[in-house]
Amino acid sequence: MRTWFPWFSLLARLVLGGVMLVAGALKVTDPETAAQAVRAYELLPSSLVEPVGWGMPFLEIAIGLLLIIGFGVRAAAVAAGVFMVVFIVAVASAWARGLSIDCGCFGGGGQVAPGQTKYLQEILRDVGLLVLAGWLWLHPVSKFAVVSEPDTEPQGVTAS
Amino acid sequence: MSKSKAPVNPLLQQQKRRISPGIVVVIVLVLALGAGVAVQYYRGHSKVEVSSNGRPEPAVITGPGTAGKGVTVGKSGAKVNIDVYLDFRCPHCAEFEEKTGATVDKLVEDGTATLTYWPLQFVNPGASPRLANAFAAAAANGKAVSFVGELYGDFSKSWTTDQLIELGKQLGVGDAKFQQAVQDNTYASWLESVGKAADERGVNSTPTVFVNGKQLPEDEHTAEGLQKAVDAIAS
Repeated sequence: MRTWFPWFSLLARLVLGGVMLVAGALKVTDPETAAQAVRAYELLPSSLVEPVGWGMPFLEIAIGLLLIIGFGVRAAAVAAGVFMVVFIVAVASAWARGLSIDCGCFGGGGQVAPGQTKYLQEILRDVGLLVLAGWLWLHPVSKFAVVSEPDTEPQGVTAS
Repeated sequence: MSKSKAPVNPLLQQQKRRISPGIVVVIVLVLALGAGVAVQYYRGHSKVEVSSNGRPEPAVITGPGTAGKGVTVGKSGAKVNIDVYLDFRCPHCAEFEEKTGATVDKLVEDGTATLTYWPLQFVNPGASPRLANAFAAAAANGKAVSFVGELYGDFSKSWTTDQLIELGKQLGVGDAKFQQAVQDNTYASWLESVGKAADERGVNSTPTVFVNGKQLPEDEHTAEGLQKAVDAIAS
């Protein structure tokens, strides 16, 4: 346990949590568009598209808040990591199938003109966030968290 | 937060057990998911309220039902015709309506342009056809523009069949004929023919706009862009 680990974990919490929170907040006001973005991936049966499109923004907000305040960091990081894996798989499959869609990660979404796709950037961004989630799973102890993990008592000095 | 001890009853031997944060996180997430679906369900099934903004309702020149022809409104004899290919479940169409609605209203009102709606039904296979059919039924009763405005104006609504009928009633076109048409999907074959006409014109996304047959580029999908395109012809 290096002394800078808790500080880096704090940074990871704020970045990952912040992105999740913003992504959820941007989508939560327009559920119909969010459902539309999910539908554009052509991965889910139509009966599942709407619950996923409506529910996902709320889940993202919840995970983002948990990470930012630092409650149950390990579990929240796992949840965020699962989300990132799902997003990466979904975008990669859209790319592989030659669809022209916007990921709809931050609102919007749906079909775009061929050549307007940003699949590589979208995947790289999500991979970066997945790495942060992995780090938090390994090192959930961080500065300024509401709850320190019960099963990973910090060795160093923490400010929480 | 969780560090605070609950008051202990001295008469009971208490086992101290903390719920792990992981469990709490799972519970929070399940509640969030439930809240999300519940909120949207409620919004989708809320009451229909017509936002009476006093939109002028132009006359319907060509009603629905003529194979391969859209619904045209306005004053016949206008120099310009605006074709709009739209889908009632397409978010960009809702934006387009919001940005250009007032401009289009004015152009149609003063007889500069007629407006032709080409309702497509591919964005949401589960809902687009139903909404397009209801639009046709409203247009057949003489209220096309207001109906479109209300559908896009409350875009997050599910627009169930009941809500569509209620909207028709509130706009004063919800007679028995309208209700029958909404329930029986009367205009399905006409909508197919509109879809085919759009395919033949190479329209594969919504909104697609033509001003006197000239396609309006997507970055011109604004009030100014549309006005400019019309002025170029009308002046």
